[in-house]
Amino acid sequence: MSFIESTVTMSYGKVSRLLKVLRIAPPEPPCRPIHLTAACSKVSSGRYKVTRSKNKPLTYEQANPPHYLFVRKGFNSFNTSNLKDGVRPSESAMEDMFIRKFISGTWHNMFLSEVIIKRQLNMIRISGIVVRNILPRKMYFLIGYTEEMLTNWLQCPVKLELQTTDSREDVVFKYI
Amino acid sequence: MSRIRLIQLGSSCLSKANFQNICSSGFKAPAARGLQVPADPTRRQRPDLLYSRLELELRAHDPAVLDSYVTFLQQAARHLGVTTGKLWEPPRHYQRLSLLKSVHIFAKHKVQYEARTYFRVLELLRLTGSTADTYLEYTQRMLPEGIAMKVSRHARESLPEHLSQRPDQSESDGKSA
Repeated sequence: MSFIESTVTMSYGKVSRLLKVLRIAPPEPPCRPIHLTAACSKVSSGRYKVTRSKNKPLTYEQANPPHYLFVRKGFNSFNTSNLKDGVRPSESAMEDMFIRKFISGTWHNMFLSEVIIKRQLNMIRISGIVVRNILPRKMYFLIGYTEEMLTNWLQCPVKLELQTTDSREDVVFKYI
Repeated sequence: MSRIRLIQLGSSCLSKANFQNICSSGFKAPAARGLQVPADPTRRQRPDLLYSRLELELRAHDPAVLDSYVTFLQQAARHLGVTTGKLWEPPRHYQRLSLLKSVHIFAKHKVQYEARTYFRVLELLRLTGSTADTYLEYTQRMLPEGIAMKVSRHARESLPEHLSQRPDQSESDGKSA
């Protein structure tokens, strides 16, 4: 009791030194931290978090982060708009984004790979790997619907060249 | 018999008079036999343009695809009997962008992008206009996605008349005075 009473009267510096000698962690003074330097910006794009149970499937494309582009990975869009003196780079990019959104919305969870978009002359060729979970008749309808709608919106011939597979495990490269 | 032989030799061997004679005498035109109608020989044909050389400049992001396409171009030229000149590689061009990583502030942290363009130029020598059109139509239909082609046609022209003759001496005397 006398020991505690004596510490109350001591200065803060002396208290902390005493607590250090006695190997007791000093109570933290009340404070709220603020950032005085820039945040540690770690790159997290195109990278997936490892799970505890190691059951999250990744395709080869997802398993390789973006710095492996043109080394281990290929591109998803093939066009000449980004070459030196290339024409309409922004329009091509917007069209690609639109095509990808449209396809992901029309083909509900059926595309196992990324949507590959190739531009040749005035044609757009769209390819990818699709899982066979619907009837072939419905698949033909979806192909025709996609081609027709995209042709009308993008004002150029659009062709779908799909590869189908039975199971989703065919595209899995690793589990994390 | 002579009429049939003339047609088999081709339209270039026919004289205008002979052909007109054949047409008027009730000879069965190829269209009636289910074949394509031949071009009207009475229409005045422009003489075929002659090119001293054709330069094909190819640009791509991927040098491997570019090399394979150039091999295809050379093979096609060999098959169609087109003389190839030199093939050279202009220096590649890298476009680099350093942009801010964050939407707001943090200007010390940037992200860098790069777009690479590789070039190849192939020369084709001494072509006629129709050969050039055929060759280019075939190769351009087979262009892979991601390769751009620029065609420069070079033709020789004779000097225009007002440059090929010396100006009159009397005219120049008048101007100087």
